[in-house]
Amino acid sequence: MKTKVITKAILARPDGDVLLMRRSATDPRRPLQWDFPGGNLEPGEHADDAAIREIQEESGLDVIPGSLQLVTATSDVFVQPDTKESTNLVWLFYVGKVADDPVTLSFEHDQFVWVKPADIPTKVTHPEHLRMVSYVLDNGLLAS
Amino acid sequence: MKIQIHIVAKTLVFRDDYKLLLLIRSDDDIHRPGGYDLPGGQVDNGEEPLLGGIREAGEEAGLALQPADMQLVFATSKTDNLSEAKPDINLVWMGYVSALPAGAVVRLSHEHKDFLWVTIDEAMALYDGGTQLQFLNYLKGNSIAAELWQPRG
Repeated sequence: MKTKVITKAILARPDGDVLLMRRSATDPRRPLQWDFPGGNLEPGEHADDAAIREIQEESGLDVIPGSLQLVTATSDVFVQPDTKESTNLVWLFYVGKVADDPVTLSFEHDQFVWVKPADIPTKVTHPEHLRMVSYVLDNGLLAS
Repeated sequence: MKIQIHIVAKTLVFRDDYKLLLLIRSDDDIHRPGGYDLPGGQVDNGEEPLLGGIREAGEEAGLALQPADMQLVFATSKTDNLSEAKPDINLVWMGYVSALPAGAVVRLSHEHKDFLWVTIDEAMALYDGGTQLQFLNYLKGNSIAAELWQPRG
């Protein structure tokens, strides 16, 4: 089974709201699902650099230097609905802070929204992501 | 180019006096014989990285680390050029920190010949380079990470 390592970041702006983005309808994985910014770790890349790069590519935002913190990792198996191909997904979850700057989406997402951390589960449905959100909220990791 | 990903989970295990556990690799090991080492190793396909790290620390040092004590603080990757084997390997290296469970005793496997408890500065002086030294440097320099295990005040 192939393994992919993916960074995801819960980004808080100064008022404490966090960024969610909706995956494009054309995305082969989880189309139209609400998601956090992040993406694949490239070969030889430091995971922090991968998270910063993906946040910039997907949202146009720069993480405030020194605010990015790796918090936990989980894994699950994704089965592609059409090909039935299984992939071992390892998630590296971060929290970070951004300034009050405008969001610029890439083709990968079609909408974004800023929500109160407690409201994340009203939009995000991915079980591993919700586990991360609980871990971050239960441990007060978004508190500034 | 096909790249295969291997995940490695290593754990910095510290005692009440904030000394950390370093293992010394066996002389017949194909990788870094006689080198200093943090407990840990390769995570199995589909295994939770945290549980892989705990399993490896059990196999290598006889420790029963607790999931609730394990804090992930560092992750990086490097392409492996140790062999000509194809496909190429991207080694994803994850660094955890955990307190030593109360009453735990270190019991080595054949993979290591000795162990020692040292301060983080002593540990950093023992490494010539490599990812484990990067991890120690990160812990030393990162205030969020350092709070996890360094003496207060």
